[in-house]
Amino acid sequence: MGAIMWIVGLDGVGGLARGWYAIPLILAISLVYSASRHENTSLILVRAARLVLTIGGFMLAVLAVLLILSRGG
Amino acid sequence: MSQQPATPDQAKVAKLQLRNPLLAGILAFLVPGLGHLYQRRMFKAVLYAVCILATFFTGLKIGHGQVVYFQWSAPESRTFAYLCQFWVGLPALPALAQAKLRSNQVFDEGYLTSALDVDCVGTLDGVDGLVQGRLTVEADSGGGGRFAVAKFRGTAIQGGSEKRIEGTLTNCTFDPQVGPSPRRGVLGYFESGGGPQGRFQGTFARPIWDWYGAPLFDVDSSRANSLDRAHRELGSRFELGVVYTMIAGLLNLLAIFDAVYGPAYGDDESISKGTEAEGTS
Repeated sequence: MGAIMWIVGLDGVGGLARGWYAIPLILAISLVYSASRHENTSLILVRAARLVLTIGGFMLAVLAVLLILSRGG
Repeated sequence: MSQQPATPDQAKVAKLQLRNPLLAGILAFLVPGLGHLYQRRMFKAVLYAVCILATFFTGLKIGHGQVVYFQWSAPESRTFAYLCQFWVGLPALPALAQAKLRSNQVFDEGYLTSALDVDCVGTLDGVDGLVQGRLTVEADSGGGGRFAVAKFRGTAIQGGSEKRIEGTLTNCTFDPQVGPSPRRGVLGYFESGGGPQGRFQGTFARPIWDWYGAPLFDVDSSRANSLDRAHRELGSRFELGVVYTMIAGLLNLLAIFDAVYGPAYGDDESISKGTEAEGTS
């Protein structure tokens, strides 16, 4: 529970609250990148959604690794 | 000669023909999405404009308008971040104009080019509430603005009640005319006949062309260290703002290339889907 509170930034000390700033960036980057690759509207949206999941998944995986490592210390 | 039906390859070339790519590229640089609007690619125009401008101005807001500036001359450190921010176009160009077109004097503390007559808010020693009113400075009231004499007429909140005050501010020093904050500071000694007197510290509004994109100074010891102050006030939000605005500029590079050369992967899938749909109907 403490880890979750830390991740969402509700632990009173800030936690990973700044991580929320990444979300609009990921959305904007995915949409613009996909739009620069394709012309078709639905294709742009589908590829952008896939890219959001890829970037988000990668960041969460790195976060999980860092959390595990920090517990070990 | 009989007309041959267009092959999918011919249809692809026809579909991706872009209206005046050079002009569209210039428009896409100036305002994200404008080049695509000119080419009548409405969805992309809206998408680029919303995503890139929202990212840029969010970054600017996070960084209190102080994260986009240009500084390239010694002894100051070079702002490599601006090389990315520049590509947002018009919203980032004022920073270049501030650094290249303004005279050096406007960045000096206390420099007054003309008379001032502004609404000012501040604090006064011995008065527990805010002091606000009209600050008037004659153009030749001091040594070029340093230690100038100003007149102040307004109200002071003392013990919960409002009181009228009027007097003179002596030994006034002003923040530079051009600085990174929307408000310009003034410091002086307030004297009035019989009323409160003491150190006065206030601010008044800067016009937008005197603060938007204004350079921050760090190394030059003759100037106030505005970069240091920005870091102190904003903490990590300064870097966040820089990152947001840099990414916005880099994203617009993709949009400019899209306006000039078209999408990187072409339109293969949509064309083949369209051909299939036509074939089945």
